[in-house]
Amino acid sequence: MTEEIYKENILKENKRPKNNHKIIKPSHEGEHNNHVCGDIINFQLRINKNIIQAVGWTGKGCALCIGCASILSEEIKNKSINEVQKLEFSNLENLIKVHVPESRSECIKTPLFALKNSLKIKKGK
Amino acid sequence: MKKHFPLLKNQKNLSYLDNAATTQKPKICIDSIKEFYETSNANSHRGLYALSLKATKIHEWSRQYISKYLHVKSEEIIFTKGTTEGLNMIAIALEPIIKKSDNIISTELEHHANFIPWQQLAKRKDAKFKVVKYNEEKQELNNISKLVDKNTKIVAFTGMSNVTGEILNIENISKKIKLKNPKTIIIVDCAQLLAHKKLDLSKSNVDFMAFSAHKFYGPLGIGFVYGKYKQLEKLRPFLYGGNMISKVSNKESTWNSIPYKFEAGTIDTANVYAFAKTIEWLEIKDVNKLFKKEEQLKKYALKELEKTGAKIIGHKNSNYGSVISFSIKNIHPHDLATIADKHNVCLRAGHHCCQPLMDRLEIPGTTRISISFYNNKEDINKLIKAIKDAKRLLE
Ligand SMILES: Cc1ncc(COP(=O)(O)O)c(C=O)c1O
Repeated sequence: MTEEIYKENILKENKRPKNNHKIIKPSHEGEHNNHVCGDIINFQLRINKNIIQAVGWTGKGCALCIGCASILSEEIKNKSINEVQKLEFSNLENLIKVHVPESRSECIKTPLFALKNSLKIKKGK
Repeated sequence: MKKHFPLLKNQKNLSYLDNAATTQKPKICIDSIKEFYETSNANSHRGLYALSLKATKIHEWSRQYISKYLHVKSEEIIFTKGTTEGLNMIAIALEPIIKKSDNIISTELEHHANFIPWQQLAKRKDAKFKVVKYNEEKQELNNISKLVDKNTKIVAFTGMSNVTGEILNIENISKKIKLKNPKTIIIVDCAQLLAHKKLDLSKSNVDFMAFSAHKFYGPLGIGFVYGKYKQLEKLRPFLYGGNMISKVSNKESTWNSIPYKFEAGTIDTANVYAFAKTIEWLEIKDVNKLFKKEEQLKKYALKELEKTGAKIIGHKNSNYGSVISFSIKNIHPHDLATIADKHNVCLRAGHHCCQPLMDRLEIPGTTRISISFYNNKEDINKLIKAIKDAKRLLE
C-alpha cells in the first residue's frame, strides 16, 4: 500500500482502461453520480446463475475514479453476486494498492456504488 | 504582505490560491477577537452595567464603520451569519408579497445560495421562476431587464461570479430593471465582489445585498445584509426571539426599531468587531492599491496559464476580477488539485456550488484559482510547475 496516489498501475489503467464500453445484452445496469464533483459511472453486467459473465462500464471521472473502475471491472469477472456485494472501501484500496486520502475517497467509491446499484437494477428483456 | 497574515507567515511554503472560498486572516483580525474577549465581553444591547454598554458600543461602532465603508446608513446594515443566511432570510421575508401571477428572475451564473432560495420561493408560491442564460459572447446577463415585466417581483443576481470571476455592471443592470418596473426588488449577491471592488452604494438602485466577512479577510461565521431603509420598513422580521422585540404579551408582540428587529438572538460581537477592524486596516493599507496589485497578478497568471495550453473560461475583456476557472485537456480537476497540493498549492476543483452554470458549459467542473493581494509571482510559478507535473503524469 502506498500514500502516493498516482502510482504506475493507476496511471496505466487510467490511460488504457479495461472493459470501458457497453456490453451486448446486459441483464443488469446501474450508475452512480458523485455529487462532490459531478463525475458519473455506469456499470453494465450480464449475470447468469448468479455469476457475472460479462462486464462493461462507461462514464467520466478523474484518474482515480477511472483507474478504479477499470481494476474493479477486471476483478469481478466470473465472481458471484454474493462476492461482489461484500466488496467494501478497504477492498478497493487493496485492489488498487493505494491508500486513498479522505478528501478523495468519493472518487473510488463512485465505481463501487455504480457496480452495487447495477446489481439492484435488472434490465427488462 | 504575507507577513501580516500569521498563517501565511507560519507556512512559508504555502501558495494559497483558494481565496474565493475563504481568505486568510490578517493579524489585526485575530488580535481584535482576542482583544474583545479579554476586555469587553458581555452580551451587547441587553445589560445595564458598564461592561455590557461597552460591548454595545463596540458593536455599534463596527456597524457604523462598515456602513461608512459602503456609503450607506448604519441602520441599513443587518448582521447575519453570512451571505447564504442573508439571502435565505430575504427570501423568507419577501414571501408574503409574492403572488401566483408573479415572477422571480435569477441567472445561471449564480452560486446555489442565490439560486435555490428564489427557485424554492417561486415554487412555494406557485409563481414563475425565470433563469437568465449564461452566454459568454452574448453577455445576456447585462440584459437581465429584457426578462422583466410588470409581474416581476424580484431579480436576484451576482455582483461577481465565484467561478468565472466576471464582474457585472450592477448599477447599469439595476437602472434598466427599475426603468422597466420600478417596483421590482433587486437583490445582489456580493459575497465575492466585496473582496475585489470598493463599493459606493449611496446612489445605488439595488434594494438588498448580502455579504460574508470571511471572503474579505474577516472572520468566519458572520456577514451582513444591506437593505435600503425604505425596503426594510416594509419588511417583516426574519427571525423571532430576543432583542428584536419592542413588547411581548400573551396575545401580541411588537418589534424593535430597524435594524434590531432583524437581529434576533445574540450576535457574535467579537467577530463583528474583528471584521470592522480588518476593514479599517485594509483602508489604512489602501484597498484600491491592494486591488490593483491583485489585478496585476491576475494578468500574469492568465498569461502563464495560457502558455500551458489551459482553456480559460471568460476573461476575454476587462470585466473580470482575480478569479480564474480553467481546464486542462485530459486532466480531471480533482487530479490537478491533488497534484497541486503536493506542491503546496491550494486550489479548488469541482462545480463550485454552481451546477446550473456547469450544465450550461457542459462540463462537470473546473479547476479554479482565486488570487489575493498577498499572493505573488512565486505562487503562480508553483501552480504552473504543478500543472506541468500533472501533464507529465496523466497525459
Ligand atoms: C458568489 C457566492 N455567493 C454566495 C456564497 C456563499 O457564501 P457563504 O458560504 O459565506 O454564505 C459564496 C461562497 O462560496 C459565493 O462565492
